Amino acid sequence: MKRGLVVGLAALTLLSGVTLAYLRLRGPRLPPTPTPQELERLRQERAALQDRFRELTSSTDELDLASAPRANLLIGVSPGFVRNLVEQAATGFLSNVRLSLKDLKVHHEDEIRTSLLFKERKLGDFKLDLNVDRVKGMLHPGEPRLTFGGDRIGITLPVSLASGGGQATLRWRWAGEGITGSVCGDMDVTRVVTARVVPATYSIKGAFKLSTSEGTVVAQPEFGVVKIRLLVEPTEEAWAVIDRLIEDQDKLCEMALRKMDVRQKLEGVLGRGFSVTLPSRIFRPIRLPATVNESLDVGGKRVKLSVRPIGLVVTPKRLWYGAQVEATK
Amino acid sequence: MPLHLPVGRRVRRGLTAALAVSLAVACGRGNSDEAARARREKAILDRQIPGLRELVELAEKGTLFAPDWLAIGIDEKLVQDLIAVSLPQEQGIGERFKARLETVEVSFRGNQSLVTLRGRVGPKENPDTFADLTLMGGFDELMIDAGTGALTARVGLYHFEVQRAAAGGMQIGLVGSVVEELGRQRLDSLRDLVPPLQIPVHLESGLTIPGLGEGAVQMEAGELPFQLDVTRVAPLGGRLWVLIKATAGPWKATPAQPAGGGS
Repeated sequence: MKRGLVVGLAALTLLSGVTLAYLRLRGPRLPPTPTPQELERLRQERAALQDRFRELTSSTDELDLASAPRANLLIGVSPGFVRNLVEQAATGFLSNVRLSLKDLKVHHEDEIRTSLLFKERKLGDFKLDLNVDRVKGMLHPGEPRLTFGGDRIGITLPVSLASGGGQATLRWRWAGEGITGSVCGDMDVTRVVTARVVPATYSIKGAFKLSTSEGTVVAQPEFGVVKIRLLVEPTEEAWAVIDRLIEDQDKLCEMALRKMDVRQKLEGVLGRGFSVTLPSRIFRPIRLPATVNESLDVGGKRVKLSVRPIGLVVTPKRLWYGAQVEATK
Repeated sequence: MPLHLPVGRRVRRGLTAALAVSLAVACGRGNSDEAARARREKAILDRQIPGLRELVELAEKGTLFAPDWLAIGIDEKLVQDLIAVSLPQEQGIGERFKARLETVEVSFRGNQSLVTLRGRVGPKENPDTFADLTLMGGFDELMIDAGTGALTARVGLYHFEVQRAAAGGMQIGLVGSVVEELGRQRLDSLRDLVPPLQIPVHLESGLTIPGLGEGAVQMEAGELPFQLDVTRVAPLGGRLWVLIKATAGPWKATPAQPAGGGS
């Protein structure tokens, strides 16, 4: 009885093994060939879905394909993205600009006259030289304003020069005449004083022209010559140095020098400011993020492509770049 | 991170069925040309219908396209040419057989990406004996290489046919062996026969600006990074559309870069 059970189990195991081996060796099971009715039902389902899709998409050309150039490779960018890109790039260009000016020279000379004993008399001649040895300032761009017109994006960018300082050398020469000449004599005084940049806001205007270059759309900067008038003034500490110099003279001489009003003269001269030209290289071409390649790696082979730009189309909905690309072995 | 086309995922689940369909070609069961055509058509429909359903669903929700997406449209003929330049491709199938793909047809009609590759398959040691091989698939994976900015799509295979060649003289029994071997190897093993399609568009990771080092006006180098995510791939009107959500910024200075005179 027990022996029969063992033999039966062994036979069952062998049979299962043979069955499994057969199933494994014969490969996957074959499904039935679809019936014509099944195929027809699937075709109808496809047709209904295609009709529905056409119905949903034909009324709205969301991609604005109708405007796209006829090319086998199209790149379409939304005006919103271009706007954002130009805004951020233009702001970025000017966000870390430092002005570092050296040896800015200012010269002023004049004669001082006054009424003395019912007669106008000359007190003397003065020469004022201010050499701004170095002055530094940082530009801070504000919010740009963009205007779209065809393939040009106009931009007005406010830029403030909010901080900055430096050092200047003031040379003050005085040649007194008459009484002041005998009291003050001639003076030639040089003092190193501190100077600061006067905060100001400038408006930079220009444009970016959209064009195609090297397989992509590039916004080329058109800013012409951009000049900033940099205003520099001596600090209060510097004025105190000048005041002390005058106070150190005797009374008559001090009166004559006060008549000269060094502060007003200096402010008048410095008020004209210094013109700083921003190099055109600050404004860079802005390339859109997608570029058509001129060669490709296909299955380990380097394939050269012939790329012929077809055109750039700018519409209110989309900016299209089209290229005709040919691949040859 | 690759974007898997939802259609591709569904087709992968049904791969065994699609594979089995082709086995019948050589095994004599329902092995008429008409039956082979019916199986091929069903394989295409099985792939096309879920894809269409999804496009319709997206269009109904109004989320098929977003106006601010970057759109790249590549014509089916260009894709076909780009795959064709990599052909012929050869690959062994198991120990005994070798497949060689020679031609390709690509269609982006009917809201479906359909790639049909044709060639031959036969014993490795006997190149004069072969059967015709047809592989069918579609683009089922698309990704941006973060390092190179290359946009690459992979062809997922979902159907094959092996038919006795008019010339070539492979015995019907041998055709059956090829089919069995392909059945064992699975279609995924033939993926390498179809090299990934590199779309001839390069995607930049950002806008880099060199600094201005010397002179009265100095500028720090900076970068405006782009975030580009493939959001949708849709075969429409004879083109494969790759739709990318694109954002730029914020601008960041890159002081570590040596500032030069700029270019």
